[in-house]
Amino acid sequence: MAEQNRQWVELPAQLYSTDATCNCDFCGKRVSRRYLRISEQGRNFRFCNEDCLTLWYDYWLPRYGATIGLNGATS
Amino acid sequence: MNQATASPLDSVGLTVLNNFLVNTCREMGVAMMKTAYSSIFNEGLDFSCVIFDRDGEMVSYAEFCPAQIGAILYTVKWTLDELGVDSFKPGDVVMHNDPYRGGCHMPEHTVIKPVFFGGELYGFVANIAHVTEIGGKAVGGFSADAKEVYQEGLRLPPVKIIDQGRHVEDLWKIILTNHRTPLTSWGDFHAMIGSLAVAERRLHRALERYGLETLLRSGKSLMDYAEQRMRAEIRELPNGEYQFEDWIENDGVDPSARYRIHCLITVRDDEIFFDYSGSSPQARGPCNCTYGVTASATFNAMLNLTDRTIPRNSGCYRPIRVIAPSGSVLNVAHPGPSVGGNSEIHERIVDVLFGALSSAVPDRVAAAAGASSCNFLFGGKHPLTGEFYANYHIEGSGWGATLNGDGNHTQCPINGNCRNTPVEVFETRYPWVVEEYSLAPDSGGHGRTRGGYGCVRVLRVEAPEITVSSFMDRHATRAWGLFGGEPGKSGSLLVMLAGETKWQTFLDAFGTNSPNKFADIQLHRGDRVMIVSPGGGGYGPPLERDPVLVAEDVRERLYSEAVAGDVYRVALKTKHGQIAVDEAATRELRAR
Repeated sequence: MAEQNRQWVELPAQLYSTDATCNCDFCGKRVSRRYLRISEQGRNFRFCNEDCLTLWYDYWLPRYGATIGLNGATS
Repeated sequence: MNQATASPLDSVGLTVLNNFLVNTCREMGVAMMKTAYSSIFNEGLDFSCVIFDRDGEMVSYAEFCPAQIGAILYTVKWTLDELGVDSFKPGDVVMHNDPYRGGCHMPEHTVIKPVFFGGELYGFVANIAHVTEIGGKAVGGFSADAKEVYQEGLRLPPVKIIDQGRHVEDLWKIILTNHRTPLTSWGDFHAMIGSLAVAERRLHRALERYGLETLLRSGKSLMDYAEQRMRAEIRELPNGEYQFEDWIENDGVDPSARYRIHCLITVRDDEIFFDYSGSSPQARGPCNCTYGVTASATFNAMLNLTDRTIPRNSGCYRPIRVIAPSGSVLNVAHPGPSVGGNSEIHERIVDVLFGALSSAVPDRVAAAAGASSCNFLFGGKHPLTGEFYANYHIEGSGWGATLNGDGNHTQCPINGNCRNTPVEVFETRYPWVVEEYSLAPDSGGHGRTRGGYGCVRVLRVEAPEITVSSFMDRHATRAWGLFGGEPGKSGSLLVMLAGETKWQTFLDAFGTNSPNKFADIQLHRGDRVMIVSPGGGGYGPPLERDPVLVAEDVRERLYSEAVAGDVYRVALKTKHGQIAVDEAATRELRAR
């Protein structure tokens, strides 16, 4: 996992941003206030926390990475 | 006690504390049952009650409605994340019903109240409950042909409806103005809020007795204990991958659409992954599940397969991973509709998980259930009072058979645990006459153990007009059997208009998109509705069923003597005026 690619990102909090949420790219849960963004093979992914990020590399990427054009062996 | 040196209770103390916390949650539920205005509360018990600590971890849960067992984790935790724990003041109550913020579907509202002790925050008491009328397109909140959330009723993000003990009146006006039955909503909301006060009082007693730090640390100990117990249960499962699928038959918008529910389960030592990535993309109609529904169904299945004495708190869910991609039928993305997912698809997810794990734990799973709540909603002006009423009627269906027993007849599906509304209560409150309420003939799947039976209910309109909506499934599919057991019978929903003699589907009578998922149909005095709920699947080959039980089934008129001979190959005779097994003839039949 490339440490330098990680970044916590705050979601907008304006009154009119009523549905400015995003979902974790590993588990699908809603992210309420901020998410962990990483860049992998030139693409951005968002996670609830470090735990989901670890499992994305460990479980998701080897299994499904190729379906979205990612090399699953990367870590 | 010095807070820094406070330690958790010993194992005996923890047991006492756990029982106290669970009973506090149960007492919340009883308060709601006794004080609410609507029958979905005081007869159906369609709610869940919880205690959370100040870190947003669930310390205790009472087992009223399993549909919310996972959702309530997120409705509370994500609200705390979104608003910030520091935003809560003593006497506040926050409410929301947002399906994208952890909720099960729009009718289910969560209320959350902080509990302070000596000026310090201990945690939160909360409940989630199904409010019958929330405005929107259809009476009763089930817009079965909705294409987006905005048609499903009034959506509330987490907002303070009580601010430091004072009602935020402007907000209450907005909410109640948008509900068709504001007085009932007022009563039900205050039953929910009142139950929070019950729990707060109980927790204050415990805090006085144990102190804040001891109670907090003991809560963590209970969670760690529950986690250990769940991990030990998972370790008993053989490592490996298991998968299964089932189908939703239409979405209320496109009658030909079918949606796949697929789960790949991976058991890895003491962790288990439930991966729903293979399920269909999000539906146009409201058969989508929220993340809360999918998580609830997963936890519900796991709790049914594991030791029932494991404390229900955040700890027991830690080793269970739920993967449900956003934008799929099992994790709806904004602005997709979702009202049917909680009531109708949750139980199907549980079936899929039982099917997947049937090879690993055949002695613990069940064949598929009828798995339809047969959601039937109606409302209008009551002819006796002139007041507007609304009701959410749910019907029992047959449960799947297990290794050790026949499936239950006509019982609320596994997601609901809701009680049947007695006919007398139903007829007293609403302008219908119940003409028939009986078991659906031969509807349980045959097997060594037999699937439970669905029911037939015939209702006659006793008002100038009633507006009805429906969200049902398993009318085209059947509840599958396991290990040679046969499927249960499908259900149906029919209407006979006044003056006619023929039953027909709502699609034929009114041109709805779907025969079983529709909204806003007007019925008139003398019209009849027939709800037939589906039966459960059988378990094991019918030829292995004990002939004595077959004779008993025939005596109970569950099926005919001809079925006993043809399907079970059991010959019967009359002995002392009673149906009994003809043992010699049965041996001969079964030897063929």
